[in-house]
Amino acid sequence: MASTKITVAAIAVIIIVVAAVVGGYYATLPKPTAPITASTLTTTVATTAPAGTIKIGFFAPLTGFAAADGYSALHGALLAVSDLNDKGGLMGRQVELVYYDDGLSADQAIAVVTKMIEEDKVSVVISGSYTGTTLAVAPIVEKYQIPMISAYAVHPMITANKTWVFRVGMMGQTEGRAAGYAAVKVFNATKVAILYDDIPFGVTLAENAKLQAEKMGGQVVFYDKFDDSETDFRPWLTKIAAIPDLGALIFLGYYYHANAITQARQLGIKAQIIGAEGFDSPQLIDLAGDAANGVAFVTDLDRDSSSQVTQTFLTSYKAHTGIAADMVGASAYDAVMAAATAINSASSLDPASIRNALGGLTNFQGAAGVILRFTSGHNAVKPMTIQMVKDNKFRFYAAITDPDIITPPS
Amino acid sequence: MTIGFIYVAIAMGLTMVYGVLRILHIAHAGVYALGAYAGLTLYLATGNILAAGAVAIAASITVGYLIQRFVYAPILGRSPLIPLTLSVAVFLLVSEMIGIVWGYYPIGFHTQIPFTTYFYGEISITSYQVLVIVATLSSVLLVWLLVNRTRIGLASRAVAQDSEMAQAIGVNVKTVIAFNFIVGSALAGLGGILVGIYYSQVSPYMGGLVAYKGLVVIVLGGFGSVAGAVLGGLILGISETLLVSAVGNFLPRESFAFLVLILLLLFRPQGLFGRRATDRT
Amino acid sequence: MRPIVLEAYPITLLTIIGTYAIAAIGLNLTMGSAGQVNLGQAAFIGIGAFTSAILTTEYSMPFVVSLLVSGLMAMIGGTILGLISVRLREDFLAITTIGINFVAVSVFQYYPLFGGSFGIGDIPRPSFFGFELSGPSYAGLVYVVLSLCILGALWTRRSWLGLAFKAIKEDEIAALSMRIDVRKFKMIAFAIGAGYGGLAGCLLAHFRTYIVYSDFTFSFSIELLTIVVLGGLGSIAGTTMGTAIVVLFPEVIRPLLQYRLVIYILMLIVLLRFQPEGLLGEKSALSRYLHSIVVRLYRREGAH
Repeated sequence: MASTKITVAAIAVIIIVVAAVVGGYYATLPKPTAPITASTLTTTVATTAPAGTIKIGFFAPLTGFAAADGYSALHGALLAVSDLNDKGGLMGRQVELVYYDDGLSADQAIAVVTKMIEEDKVSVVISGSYTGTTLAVAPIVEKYQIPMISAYAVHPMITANKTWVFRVGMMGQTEGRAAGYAAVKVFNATKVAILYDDIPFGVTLAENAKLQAEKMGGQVVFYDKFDDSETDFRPWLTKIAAIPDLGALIFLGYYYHANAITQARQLGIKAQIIGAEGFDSPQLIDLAGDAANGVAFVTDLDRDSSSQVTQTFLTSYKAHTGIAADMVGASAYDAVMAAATAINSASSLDPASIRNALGGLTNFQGAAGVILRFTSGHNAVKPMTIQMVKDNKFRFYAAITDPDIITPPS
Repeated sequence: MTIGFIYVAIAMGLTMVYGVLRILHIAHAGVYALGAYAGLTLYLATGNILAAGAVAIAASITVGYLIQRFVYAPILGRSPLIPLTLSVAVFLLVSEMIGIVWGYYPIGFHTQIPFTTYFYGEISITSYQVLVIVATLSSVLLVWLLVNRTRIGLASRAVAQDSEMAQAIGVNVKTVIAFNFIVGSALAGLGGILVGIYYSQVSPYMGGLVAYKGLVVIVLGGFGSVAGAVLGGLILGISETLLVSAVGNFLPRESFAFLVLILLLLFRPQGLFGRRATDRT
Repeated sequence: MRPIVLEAYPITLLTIIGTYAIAAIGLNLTMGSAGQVNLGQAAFIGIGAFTSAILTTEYSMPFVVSLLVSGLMAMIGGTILGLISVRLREDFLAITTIGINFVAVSVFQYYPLFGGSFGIGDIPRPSFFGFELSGPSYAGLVYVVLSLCILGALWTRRSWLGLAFKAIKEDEIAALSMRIDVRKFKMIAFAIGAGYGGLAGCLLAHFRTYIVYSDFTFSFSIELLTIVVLGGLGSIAGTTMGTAIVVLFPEVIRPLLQYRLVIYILMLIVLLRFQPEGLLGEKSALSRYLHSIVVRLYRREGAH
């Protein structure tokens, strides 16, 4: 039948055309590059990559609902590259951030990471994205043997059984332990409630917070989860409000769950509210308003830090973007800087040398705190900080340096 | 439970659009989000909540009308999958544009409305809840009056029942369509700004939460039946909250709504009030 | 120098196009050929993906077995959907299928069998006789399966099955009067469409090597719906073309940075607005043009 022949012919033509278009287009495509000075995000596209630059690859969600975090990370990374270039670059050469949007889609992430390794020939890959996408590309960097640094994704699987993937941010287990420790040891709670976001972040932290709290003599009297899109926490909070002598409410959600704070206040909950890195964003104060005062959270970005790196970063980020920095931006900054430090100390762009140099980093002064060292599993050992909201600002409250807490399990 | 009232407003608007065009207007959620942002912008500029509400409604009416005129009108009369695909595309477009224009971060919506709680024995109700309930109830009443007591409302009901017949007896279908879109979109915009105030924040993809739940409500209430939509919205809102506190989350809230729907349709395919959902086969 | 087309980035894109196309062609069978709405195809892809992931990671099943079982499980799911759907009219059906998608995703999220919030990782690439398929060879596998699926779809269209579908799509009541068992064929339409989705799911799982519940949400179903509508309901070539466009266009416009998604959506809206039947749908400009070429070719042959 003619229509069948047409169909088959059309499909064959389509496949050939697709292959030709992709391949041929590919050869002529101008690569999107970051401008060397990173003021605000610009849309300029260089037609050819400046010769002799060192390329650092970066991917993050820049469209879709996760774009807020994606942009935070991108700003942090661009700032790092700009700082590096202002100081003369790396090994005498300018640095370029080759970045792509992954749309928070595993397939897109796979495509862009493949592209940046093979075509753009980046020396290091930085993930400014979430767990799902980072996990999807991990096998690719393992196969191509290019180091990848994950800025802030918390899932243990990201670094587990991998040789080329590193993590500069906090890991789910350590952060969870820190939250439990904060509740029982820092805020002296005997009874603790845990309410967590039902995504890998929340689940990992909750499990570990519970373990740690109980290990330190506390009693977890409430333990439940909510959906990430939740806006009304009263069903849980009413039950929590009814618990007598509750010392702490560990709330493992994000700044966009700020309603939980306002609703908790409205319901008269007096227990200390303790959050984690999800709360680490100026949006928290913007959204919760005055109710945020008194809320504490565990993170690695200490706004009151005496570290010059941190303070310069905070001022710089605000100056360049107009928004106050958050943990995501700081982590991305550190990921790029860690890569740069490793390249410098290896004095080479050989991937294995960079990887070994990364593994051997000690006392790395990052914007988001100090990385004492990496474990053999390539996770960062770093002290954390408890920040508290006072006068609508994030202030230092306490530090967490106990090695048992801050060392990621191997 | 208060959220049920918002579902009601949204569902009424959706039902009205469905009634005249037989389109599942997912872009309605985009209109809703835009209303919230327009209202917020004006509130930040003037501090006047009523003006903000008015602008929210005006903005959503404009966008809703534009969608009807330039997206739906040209492609009617074919497979309904085409307007559905376009509707989803428009919703994503509006959400993404909101992100580009206003930024991707959620924005706080703090009004000067004092937050007080009124207690009646065991029951407490906050001033915000009062605001939402009063606003939705009055708009529902207004729309009910419009639809049931005016000539254009009569025309609207005629078209919803049988558009060919209505046209045959001289009803100007185009005017009716415009009317339904305007009223429906106004409801969406109102819903949007109310939600923004109630939860003290807006975000570019806030429409995502109501887009699909809205569909559940119009099915529960029976397609095209405004009264059904109202009741459906309330029932959904109440049962969600009740079940979450009673049973806990054995499934996330969204799917819970759909699960209820699927079970309902298995046993009562016409929804609670509506026309037959089954084929006569 | 290796030909550019074999480099990994284009291969990755081709693999993605291939797997999406399998799912889309299945969906096209259900919606385009038999006229049954299915807005939850992603759920069946998910069923296939998780089935294969569990079988290969927990039970070390060989790939081919896993592929077939994935398709089968999805088909069973599709049959159940068919059972539910026979009594429902179009709009109710549409919403019900959306609901099935949401419910399926939630089940994947909440139950540890599917890895819960964490998903399932370390999914192995298939190996045949010690040779592990990845990159170009994996893409080759995908296209072999795709070709078989296309052949299957073509065969279905020409067979009595296809004729029955067409009858149901055009006029259900008339079909009934011709003693066509409408219920049975509706169920078959859903089953086949879902089965294709399951196969695609298995191939996607082994491509990504890590799957999680959020990979199979309603947005994915919408993407597939867009592909089928864009290409033209009922047209297999159209569906293939639609897949290529939907995957490649956003890649090609990457230099547009943050405006990428907006431009892509605008392009879709414009295309659908001006060619609502789909690019290769009946009576579309493109299909009429292709048809005229074919006619001219035949005429030239006839002249000899």
